[in-house]
Amino acid sequence: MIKVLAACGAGVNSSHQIKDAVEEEMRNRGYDVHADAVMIKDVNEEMISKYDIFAPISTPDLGFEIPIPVVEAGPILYRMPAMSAPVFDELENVIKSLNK
Amino acid sequence: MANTEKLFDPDLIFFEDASSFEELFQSVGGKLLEKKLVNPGYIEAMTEREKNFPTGLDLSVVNPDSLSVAIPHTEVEYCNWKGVVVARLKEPIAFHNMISPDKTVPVKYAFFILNNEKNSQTNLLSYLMGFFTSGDKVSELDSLNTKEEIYQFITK
Repeated sequence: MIKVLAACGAGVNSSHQIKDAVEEEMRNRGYDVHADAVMIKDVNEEMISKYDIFAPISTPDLGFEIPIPVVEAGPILYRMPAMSAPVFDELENVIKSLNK
Repeated sequence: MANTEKLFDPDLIFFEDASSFEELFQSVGGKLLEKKLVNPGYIEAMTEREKNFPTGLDLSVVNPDSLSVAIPHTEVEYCNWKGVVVARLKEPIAFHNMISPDKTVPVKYAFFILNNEKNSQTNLLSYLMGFFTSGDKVSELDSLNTKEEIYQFITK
């Protein structure tokens, strides 16, 4: 199973939408993906190390080097295929490269 | 989404004249505090959050000539209600772009998302995004005159 950490400023709206969209689309593409949604300020090195992919709206400065692949998921929020497809494609490429 | 009409309220649609998001948050936040829909600290939390995690949504990607919207919101503990407060700006104000924070977008309508349930099943944001990205919503909203008309248009 691939674990994705979705994150946004308040941890309540955007990150949950990213979580739902990523799980649904990656399932449709045949991958076993679980995502969690959190507030950026709660993300620390210990938490992020438990995930395979970090999916913020845009890359934040966490104060430490992000040790896992980052996929900027903001365009997913538009719920328009033209905006979200490149993000899902990138996510799929990263998943493939994980060789899990 | 079910019960869309309960997520908006004609009395929670404001016509605002502000020159910055800070001014807008002071004005709208003050009214929400009076109505006890938000808790003390809301304005400060919103302002701080907007600086670090901006909420401007570029709608020119939907319609090239469209003005944009913003979806300011903050953490659940500041909110006592679940729904959306709408502010129409007299003149657009700059918000930083949520997905490209180094850029700004001209915002004509701000949709304040109030959410007091952390693990909510109904996603207000996805409802709003569906609304924003179908048709030319900013122009259509601009053509309406009253709060009641705006309420009817948003909830139909």
